[in-house]
Parts: sequence; C-alpha cells; structure tokens
Amino acid sequence: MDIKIEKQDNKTIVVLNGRVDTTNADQFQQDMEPLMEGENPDIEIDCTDMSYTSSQGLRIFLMLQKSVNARKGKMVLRNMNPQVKEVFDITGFSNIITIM
Amino acid sequence: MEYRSFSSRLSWRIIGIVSVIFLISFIVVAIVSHLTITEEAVRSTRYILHGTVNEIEKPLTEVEISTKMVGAYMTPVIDNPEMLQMIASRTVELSDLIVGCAIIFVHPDGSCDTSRKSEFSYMGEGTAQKFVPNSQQLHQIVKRWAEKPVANKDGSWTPPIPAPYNPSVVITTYCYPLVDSALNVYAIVATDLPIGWMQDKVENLRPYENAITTLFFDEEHVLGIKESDSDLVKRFVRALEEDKEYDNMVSDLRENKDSLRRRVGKGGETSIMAYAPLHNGWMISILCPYRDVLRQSSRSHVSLMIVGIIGLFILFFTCRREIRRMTRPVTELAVSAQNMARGNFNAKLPEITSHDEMLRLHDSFLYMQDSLNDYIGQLKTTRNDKARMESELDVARNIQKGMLSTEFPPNLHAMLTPAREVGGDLYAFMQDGDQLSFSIGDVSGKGVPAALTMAVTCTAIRVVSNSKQSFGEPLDKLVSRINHIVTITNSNNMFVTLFTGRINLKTRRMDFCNAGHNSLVILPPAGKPYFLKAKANLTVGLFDDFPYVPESIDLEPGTRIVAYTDGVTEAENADKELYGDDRLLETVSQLAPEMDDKAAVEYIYQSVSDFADGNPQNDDITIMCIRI
Repeated sequence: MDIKIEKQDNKTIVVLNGRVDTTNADQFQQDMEPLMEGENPDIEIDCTDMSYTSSQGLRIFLMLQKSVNARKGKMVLRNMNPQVKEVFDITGFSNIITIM
Repeated sequence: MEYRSFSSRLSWRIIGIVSVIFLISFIVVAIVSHLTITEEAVRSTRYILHGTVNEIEKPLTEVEISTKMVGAYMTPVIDNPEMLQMIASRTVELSDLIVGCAIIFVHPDGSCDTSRKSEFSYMGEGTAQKFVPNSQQLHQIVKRWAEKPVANKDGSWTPPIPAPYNPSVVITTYCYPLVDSALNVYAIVATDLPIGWMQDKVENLRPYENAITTLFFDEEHVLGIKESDSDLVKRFVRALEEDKEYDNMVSDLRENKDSLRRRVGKGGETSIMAYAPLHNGWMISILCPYRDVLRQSSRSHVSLMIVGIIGLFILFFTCRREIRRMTRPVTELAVSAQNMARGNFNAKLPEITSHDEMLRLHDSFLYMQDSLNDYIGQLKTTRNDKARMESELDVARNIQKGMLSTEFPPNLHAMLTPAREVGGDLYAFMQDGDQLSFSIGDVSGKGVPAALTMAVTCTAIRVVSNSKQSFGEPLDKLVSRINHIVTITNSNNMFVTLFTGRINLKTRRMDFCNAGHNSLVILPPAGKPYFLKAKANLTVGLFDDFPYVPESIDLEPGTRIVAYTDGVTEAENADKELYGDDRLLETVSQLAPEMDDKAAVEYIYQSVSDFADGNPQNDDITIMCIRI
C-alpha cells in the first residue's frame, strides 16, 4: 500500500492507497505512530483508494481514534468505498469512528 | 569421469612435450648422421678405389714398357728367328711378371703373314719353353692380338683367357705393333700377364662386409664375381643396362672420368656404387649395400633411442615425485575441503611454508573455515531457538485446543482450523435443558497476540456463562460482562468480534447480540438461505461502557443456523479471488436436510478448501452449524 502524509494548517491529511492487510499492517502502524502524539491532533484520512482493510488495519484506526480522543481532537475518514465501509459497520467501528 | 591427480596429469603433459622434442631431435640427428656417414662412405670408397687402380696399373705399366723394349730389341734382328726366340725366352725368364712372350708377323690389314715364322716362348717348369701352335691356333691368336693394335697403331690389352700353353693359368696379353717406315704394321710383340694377383686384390677389396668389387675388362669379361655374389652383380649389371645409369657410366669411361653414383637396385636394395677407369680401358667398381654403410649409425641410433627412452622414464618418475611433493598441499587441502563438505568444519588444514599461491589458498581456506564455523554457530543457535519456540507453540496450540470444547450436544457441531500454530478464532457453547447458548468470535490479528486475547476471551465467556443462572440473565448483560473482562486486560487495543446467541429449543426463539461479527446464515426448512440481519454493536475489548443491544428472532422447526468467521468468506484462491458471501449462501443452500451438523460443517469446509485449491490459508477458519 501507499501512504501520503501532509501537514496542513493545524491538521494532518493522510491519503491511503491500496490494501491494509497482514503483510503491511506493521508498516502502516509505524507510519501512523507520529500522528498519535503532538499538539495538533486533528486528522483527516482520505480513503478513496483504500480497497480493503483487515482487522489489524481496524486496530490501527482505533488506536488513532483513541489518541485523538485523548488530545480532544477530531478524526474523520472520507470517501470510503462501500466494501470497506461494510467492515466498519459490521464491527461496530462506525459507532466510534466518524466516517463521512 | 575417472579421477586423475593433478601431479600425474602434469607429469604426463611434461613427458608428452619432452617426448615430442626428443623425437624431433632424434630425427634431425638421424638425418644429419646419415648424410655425414654416407658422405664419409663415398669419400673412403673413392680413396680405396684409387689406391687399387694405382696398384693394378703399376705392373700393367711395367709390362707395357717391357713389351715396348722387347719390340725395340727385336726390330734389328727381325729377320733372325733364332735371335727373336732367344729374346722372347730371355724376357720370360728375366721378368717377374711376364709368363709368356711372342712375336707374330702380320700383313698391314692384320691377317697372318705365314711367309715369316712367328716365335712363342713361355715359362714352364722353371725355364723358358718354346711353344709351337698349330695352324688353327695360330690363326686364332693372330685374330685376338692383331685387331686393335693394327687399327690403333698402338699397344692394347686383350681380355683374359686361359693360356693356350697352360690352360690352368688365366692370362691377359699386351700386344704391341711394330711398324715399318711406311707406318704399316708388320709384326705384333705380345707379352702374357697372369691375372691371379688381380683376382686376389679384387676379392680382398671389401671396404664393407657385403661390398662387391668387380674388374671389368670389357662387356663380356668381368673379374671379381664370386658364385655367391653373381646374382647380385648380375642383377645390378642388368639394372644398369636397363636405365640411363649404364649409359652414363659408359660415357664416363669413354671420357676417362671416374665417378661414383648411388642408386636403388632392383629388389629394394639400395647401394652405393663407385667406379674408376684404368688407363687401358678397364674399369674397377665397388658396390656397397647401403645397409652396410649405415650399420654403424643404425647401431648408434638404437643406443641413442634406448638412452632416450630410459631418460624419459627417469624424467617421468622424477618429475612426478617433484610435482607431487610441490602439489601435496593442494592434495591435502582437497582432503580438508572434502572433510569440511562432510560437515567437519574444524578439519585440520595442511601447514604451508612457502610464500606463494599455496599460502594464499591456505589462508582463504582458513578464512572460509572461520566464517563457516561462525555461521554454523549462529545457525545452531537460531535452530535451537526455533525448535524451542516450535515446541512452545505446540504446547500453546494444545492449550488452545483444550479451551475449545469438542463434546458437542446433538444439535450443534463446530470446527476450527487455525492458519498458523495458534490462532485468534474461538467458539463456545452450553446447553441446559431446552436452552442452548453459543458464541463464535475472531480476535483482530493473528498468531501469538491473537491467541492470548483469544484465551482471555474464552475464559471470560466461560466465567460469565458458567452457571445455570446465566441462562436467566439478559444476553446484553452477559456480553457487557465479557466485554468488561476483555477490555480491562487489553492494553494493546486488540479487539474481538463476537456473536453470541441463545436459543430456546422449545419455542425456537433465538436471542442474539452481535459484537461486530459476520452475520449468521439462516437456512429455513423450505426456502433459500439468507444472512441474519443484526445490529452492529462494537467489537468486544475496546470500550468498557459500550451499550450492547440484544435482538430476537423466531425460527421455524428444522431451520439450520451457520455461524462462521471471516476465514471462510475471505479464503483466497490462486487468482486472488475471495470465497465471498454469495458462494457461502450457494454452499449452504446445497446442504441436504438429512445431513447432520457434523456433515454440514465438513461439507462447507470442503467447499472452502476446494475453492482455495492448495492456496495457503491465511486466516483461521471456524464453522459452526446448529439445527433446531
């Protein structure tokens, strides 16, 4: 998968491209870890080109969400395709993560 | 391929090259020595020939002079037969060489002049005897003697014949003409010379063992041919006559030249022939077979060859020993390398004292040995670690298996196949009378972290529902309690999707609560299978206070319920296609009514397995079937 991270004003924009699965979940976690600390907690994730996420991927989104909540910020996932959205729905993650 | 040692191959190579050089040298030496020996033979043969010519010519010349003197003495007393007879007798008596002396009278045309009396004298019984030929003998003698002197007006020698007065002695006669004032020949003075001494000389003249010396008087009279040699000389003479060689010889003789030629005789015998003319037209020839000439050099060539071959043998063994000594380190290194290849990485390396490529090779080997030892050491540690981990995982797997009950009630069956040694899928069930409760779940991630969380979850389920009273509690309460236990032990944000159901087998009402798990498939006794619609509650293990919402559904008798984890729907084949929801519905629709739960579980698993077609399973697969 391909990850682009961009700092914009006081929020971070992440663009995900491809699959999040067993083979690259660790890498995804490492890339996201810097976003789980610091003064500007707001994160916007563009999921237009994310084709799949495994439970490990869900766990990382959850970790992000928890760190954002702890710093009283906001995290938004945008343009998620229906198959991926379904995973978030089934697992109930849609209840705790904002998907627009 | 046959093994041949380096030293042996090198030795053979050197011997090969040396042999070729030796052979070429030998051939050159042989050719040069043949040429030299042939030249030497020619020179010595010519020398011997000239010596012999001189020896033979000396008495001939003496006889010629004597004869001329006899002629001079006779001329004043030519009309006195008694004086003539006396002079002839005295000549015979006084000369060591001359055995017969005569004067015959001829007409200028060479015919016998019978008007005057010829006189003949010869040596017999120590004194001079008178010889009187009869008329026929006289005519024959005149014919033999007069022809050439009359024609040439000069002395000439006749071919050898047995003497008329003593046939046991073979003689040649010198005939000298006496001429009158008008230069007409009127008489011939003749002296006889026996040829026995010439024969001895010729026979003893043998520069080589099989050489043949021959004295030619003319084309018909030849001296020196022994009975045993006659074939050879005849063959030789015939060969000469057949080609130009003879013509050359004759013309040489005519011009009084001596010559020496080499030729191949008929029958393959190569010979050297030397010949020289005498002043009176005779010729001496020596025929030397070439093999005789070369015998000496052939002998020395054989010696040279033997010495050479012995030398080559010595060279071979010396070379081989030296090369073997010098390449011994390579041989020993090869043995060490073989030992190393067999796994003995501490194989002893040979000691190298020389400072050359051998030392470098040795050092490289030493370095390789050290590296290999290090590497093997690391490998052993890694292997031991791996073995320990594997055995630990094996134990963990057994522990995990033990957490999953396998004593199924009559209307429920489940199967769990982990993708690795340990997995994150789980199931649980409990029956109390008409009440049947069950759970199926999937921990996020895989491997050991997932397995640990799975253990916590299983324990939590067991703790929460391990009493008959639990069947009386609302389902959402139970799930909340499970969530609470998992959440407080979860510092690593692991979560569990968990579907929990409770069926009253009498009323066929099912209460259920889905915490983020895949929907169940419901197969009514008549009709198509469908996914159970359930509210998506959050997965277990994340938020302690999440409000789980329970739901209920009434089922027809004979309904089948299929619960599963995403290892089923996300099974992949080699083309990266997923098994998917539709295929699952299709498979469930194929379940025959008479199949029990175990057969149904196995049927679905087989379908997934067939679909993957050997493609590695990358997630745990759990299937549970219930029929009411």
